[in-house]
Amino acid sequence: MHNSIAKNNNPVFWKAIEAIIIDIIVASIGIIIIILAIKLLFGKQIKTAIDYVDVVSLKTDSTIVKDIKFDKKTESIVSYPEYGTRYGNIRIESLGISLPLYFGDKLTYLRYGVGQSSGSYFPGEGGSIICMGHNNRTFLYDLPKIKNDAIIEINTTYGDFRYKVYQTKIVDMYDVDELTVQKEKEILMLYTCYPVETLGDKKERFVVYAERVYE
Amino acid sequence: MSVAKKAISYILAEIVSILMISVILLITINSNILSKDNMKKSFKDSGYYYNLYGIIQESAENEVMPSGFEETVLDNVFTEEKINEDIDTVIDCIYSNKKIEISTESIKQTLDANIQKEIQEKEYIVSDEAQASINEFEKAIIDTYTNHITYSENTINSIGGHIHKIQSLIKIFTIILCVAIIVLLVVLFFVNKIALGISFIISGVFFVALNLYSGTAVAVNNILLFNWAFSKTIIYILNNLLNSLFIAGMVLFLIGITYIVIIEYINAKLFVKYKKVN
Repeated sequence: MHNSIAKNNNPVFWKAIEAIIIDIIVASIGIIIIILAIKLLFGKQIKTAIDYVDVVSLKTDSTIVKDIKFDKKTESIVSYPEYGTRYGNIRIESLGISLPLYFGDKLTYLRYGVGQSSGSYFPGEGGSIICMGHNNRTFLYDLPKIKNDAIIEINTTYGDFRYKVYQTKIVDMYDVDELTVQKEKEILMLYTCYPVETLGDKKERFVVYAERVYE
Repeated sequence: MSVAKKAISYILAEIVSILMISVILLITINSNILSKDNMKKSFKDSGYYYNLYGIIQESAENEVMPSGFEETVLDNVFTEEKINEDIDTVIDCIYSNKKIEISTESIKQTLDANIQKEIQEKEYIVSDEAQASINEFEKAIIDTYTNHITYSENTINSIGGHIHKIQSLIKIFTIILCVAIIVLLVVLFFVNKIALGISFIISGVFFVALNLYSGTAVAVNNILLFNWAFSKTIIYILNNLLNSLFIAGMVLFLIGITYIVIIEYINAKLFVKYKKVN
């Protein structure tokens, strides 16, 4: 009764409102039809475009692993550090070298210390560990002076590891066969650009091979 | 008005909406991405030149670190003005479909001078072999610069070939669509005035919905392509594009709803007057 009284007091207003609501419903149906048509006709292409944007987008919901979890029984890393993070130190006492160790071998990380190749194993995993650093005086300038039986220590957040040098080699920069990745023995291969004294582009690498020392 | 006439008018309104959506998309893309001046402005406003200068400098320093030279060897080798000039050249070449040609002579001269200065100051003895290494080092520095300016010359040259064709096609389609829209709007005005307003509302809400959907389904602000400077610029351009579409959508919606409210109010007044008379 109240509604009819209200409508009788202002019939134009309520008539217009009624009509506008119907128009909005018609418009909504129109929008739904267009969206369904686009989904039907271009659904695959839209999904491909969205997937592509996802591929080139940084994931912001990924968990950053602060502590590396190492399983001593299986001798393997359970949770790896994020690429580009510092996870330890590398020390060569006989040369007075003590440098941060990063997971990753991009030039960006080599500005700050020694990088570990993401294609090699971690210390303690029983395989090849490939590390590299710049040959300037801040980093590995003195590396070519290393002698056999010298000890290289890697101190990580999950354990300390010692390696004894058994060989050094000068190899061509493209000779990847000299840095073989294997899982039979824990071998540390640490290299730098060579020769260290000359200026300009270096085409060779000075590689130190060291075997794990188990205490 | 008969039911059949109403139904036909609503179908026409739907067609007009689709045409309006198409024409607005074409005009927005043409004035944002396909406009050379707008692209240059976007690169400037997003700080690309300044950011790229930092990235090039850092990348070159990575080359210097194992070379035996001091970092001072890069003093004044790269400048923001030169980067600005060369990026603008690349953009001009893309939009005029010309082969990219960037001069690195000034970079080479400055680098050479800095190297010679350091060699003299530190009294290095440079053998033929060392000179060959130094030449390789200079080439690496210059390549660092050109790679950051052009990224992929082949890709850019192929894009340039397509842009012209796309621009011409867009112009033709825009004219055809605009003519079709005007004709259909005139027809709708005489057949069913309300349907005209509904077509505006449909188009407007579509663009607002597109903006909301892209905000949730697509991680535009997290895009990472080549380097963070380029990514920041791409994000800036895409966000501008989406904002333009959103504004267009809001304008169309407001025009549509205002038009409908006015027409329905007039219709209601006439209806009530007719009812009273009868």
